[in-house]
Amino acid sequence: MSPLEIAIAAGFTSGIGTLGGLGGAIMLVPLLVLTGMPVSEAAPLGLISVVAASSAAARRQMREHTTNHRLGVVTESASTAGAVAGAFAAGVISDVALTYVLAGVAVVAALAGGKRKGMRWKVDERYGTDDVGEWIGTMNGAYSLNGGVVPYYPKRVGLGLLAMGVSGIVTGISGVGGGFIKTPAKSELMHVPVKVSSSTTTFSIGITAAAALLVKAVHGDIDVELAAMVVLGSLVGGQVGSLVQSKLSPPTVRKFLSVLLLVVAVILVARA
Amino acid sequence: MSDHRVDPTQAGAEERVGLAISATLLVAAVLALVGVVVPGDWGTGLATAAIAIVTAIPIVRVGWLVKRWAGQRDTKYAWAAVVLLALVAVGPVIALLQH
Repeated sequence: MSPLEIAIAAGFTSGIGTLGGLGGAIMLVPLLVLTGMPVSEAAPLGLISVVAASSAAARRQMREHTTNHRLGVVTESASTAGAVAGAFAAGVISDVALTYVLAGVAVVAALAGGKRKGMRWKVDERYGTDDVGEWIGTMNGAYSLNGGVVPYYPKRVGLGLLAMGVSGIVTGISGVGGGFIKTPAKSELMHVPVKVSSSTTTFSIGITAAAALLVKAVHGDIDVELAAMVVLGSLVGGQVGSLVQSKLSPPTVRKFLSVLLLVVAVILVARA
Repeated sequence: MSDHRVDPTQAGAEERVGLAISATLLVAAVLALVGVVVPGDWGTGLATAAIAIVTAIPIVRVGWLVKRWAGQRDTKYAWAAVVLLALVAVGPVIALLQH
């Protein structure tokens, strides 16, 4: 692929990844590898696409209060701790077996989100614009929807953190980004509204991707010219993805996420 | 509803941070664009600067959260953010030590 084509691919995958809250790397890296780029070169480009799109989406998602930073920080801590543990456990499970398990998880998450109808958290007249945002001292909050205010209270936090830890272990062992586990885990296990789940994951995966990118930079594994093109593409993609997400209804975002998870499952199986 | 506390300055603060992130990304985009157009070491240097800026933003954002939550006396979450920063520092620190 030419540098321009890589920028376009990064823009496209970042847009879709931001809309679904999965990060674009899970699509960009296989795409680059399929066109002949070694994984060792493609992986850092995937990381930079996640970092750039995460920040590009930030302003809109913060303005609309769909990013819950407290939820993101707590869940990403569990995930990062899992990733560190997973890095030490690499080799314990075969990559192929693990990839099939991950594909199965993606399919289950897709079906869980896809078959659910309506919204768990609805506009509540008792809440006003003063209640919108993150609530101090908790992971609860409220966001605006269609002129009203939707409060939400994450459920089964322990189970959610366990899922985040597992997603981190998987990332540490296999190198596959965990966004496709984190967003559905928040949405389906913790009952966080899908827009909040998606935006919060977009925020949090940017942090761990930045840390991983620093490791790649220390090792000198980054092709600077291609990375700059990915930055350009992903900045546009992240903006467009967050814009489209803000225009869609929560059930539509959830259905899109389900379709995207099925695509991820196919990519994982093809990669195995 | 009185079952929670919302910082009344939150919206304004997040708008300012969002604006700062957007402005920084614009600078990074310009550097990246000029970096890929300009040949030689200058181009590589500018592109590297763009990548460094983009990489720093999420980490700085968590640092801002630590400061903000500490200011709101939400120490539990301020410490959670510090723990996250410490955890994400593990990989780069080990890489630097091995380098």
